Amino acid sequence: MLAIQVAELRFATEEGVLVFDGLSFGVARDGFVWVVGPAGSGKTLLLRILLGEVRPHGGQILILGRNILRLSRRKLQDLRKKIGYMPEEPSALFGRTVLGNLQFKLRALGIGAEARREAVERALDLAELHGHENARPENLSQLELKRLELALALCPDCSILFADEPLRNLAEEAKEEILNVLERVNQAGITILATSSEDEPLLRRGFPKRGETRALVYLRESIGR
Amino acid sequence: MKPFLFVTADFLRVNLREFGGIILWSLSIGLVLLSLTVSWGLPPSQPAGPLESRRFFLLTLSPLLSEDEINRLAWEIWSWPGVAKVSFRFPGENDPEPIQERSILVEVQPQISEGMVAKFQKLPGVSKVTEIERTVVPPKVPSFARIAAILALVVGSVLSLFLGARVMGRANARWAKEQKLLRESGAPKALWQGPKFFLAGLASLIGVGFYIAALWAGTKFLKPQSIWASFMRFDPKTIGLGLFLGLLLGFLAVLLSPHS
Repeated sequence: MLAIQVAELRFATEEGVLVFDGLSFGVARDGFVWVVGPAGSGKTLLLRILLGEVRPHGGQILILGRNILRLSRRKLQDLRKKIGYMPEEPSALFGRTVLGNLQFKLRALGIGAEARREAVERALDLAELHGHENARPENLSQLELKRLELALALCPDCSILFADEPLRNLAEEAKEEILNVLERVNQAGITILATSSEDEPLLRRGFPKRGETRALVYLRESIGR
Repeated sequence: MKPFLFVTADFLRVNLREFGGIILWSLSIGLVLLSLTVSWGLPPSQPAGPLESRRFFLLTLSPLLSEDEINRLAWEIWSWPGVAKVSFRFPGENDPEPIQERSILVEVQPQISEGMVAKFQKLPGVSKVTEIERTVVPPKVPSFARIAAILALVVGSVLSLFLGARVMGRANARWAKEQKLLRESGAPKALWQGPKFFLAGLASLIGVGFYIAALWAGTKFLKPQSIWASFMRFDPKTIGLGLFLGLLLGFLAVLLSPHS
């Protein structure tokens, strides 16, 4: 059973540059797939298309069995609640504590007090941020900041995680740490589709070049084809 | 509703330090509305308008009344609703006939003049009441009033849009991260855009409040014969239009603000 299914995706920029021309891949439920490509190859664009923020020019996208290109705005918003998004640019709120960050997002989404407490606990657990609840993002290391971004993305209760360049700006050791954390998130039953501009750390981890449960999808092969 | 209230409260809390700017912005909105009302109320041409009919009552007083009693009587009449002006006339004056005894000249608003003769006659010390109708030429609207109103309208409009866009631009910048987080969390657009319009609406309402206060003060304290009082309107239609235009100005500033 696939959590994400992309078939014959086509997208061209306003200038007519073909970014995706028949891109197809699938991610199984509980799968962990990396989209790899150089800067400007369309990794972030792909995630934004999958989030329903950008409309492609052709193809079909099924998320949790639903064709997002045919969903009404309301139904897309309902589906969106099941998808966590960890953006490339940090979205953590400086001047608020780690707990304050998580609480802000959950309260803004209308999550009740009890569910909020559980969601915070789960996110802190999965992102391994316990002990930093009262720290402010400006005082966190790059690695801890990534963990906070991850915790924010996991709130309140997503079943799919889109992580845009989670390894970017990290030292080798920190990259391994984040990969460990992402593996554990995946083992907790969350489907992960992540992007990266380098494949070495992923190949070292044994991600195969083909597959639906664990795989690498190379974008550079699709550009301009 | 609860998430919107939470997000709006957070937006306002983060932007508390903009309070001074918001009040200035509100004042400029009030200025626009007031100058618009004044410009609207000005007669179309500068020379004196059409002749107006006004109603006066000349109260001839008993010679037995002391000066204090006359003063008290004049103050009492002045306190009656609808009385526009109270003045004294003395023997030797002509208004329009030669005045024989000390008298009080009372101008009343046309709509309440009926039954006033009987009311005046009941007053102690009033020996005779003469009703006089006079045709008067309304005061000319000086050109400076017209120029000042139009200038205030132009300056107020520019100022209100500038201050509004500045306040909203700063508020947006201060809350940009929160907005980004909500947008990337898939929250509906209304949730992260709504607080800006709430703040603009609040500033507009304060501005309309200033405007209503100015209208009220104008109708309450300005003499009815004064030029300024002639275009002060304190009625639901004027207030409703002011509310609409005030909110429009506020929302326009949001759309013009950076990072919107």
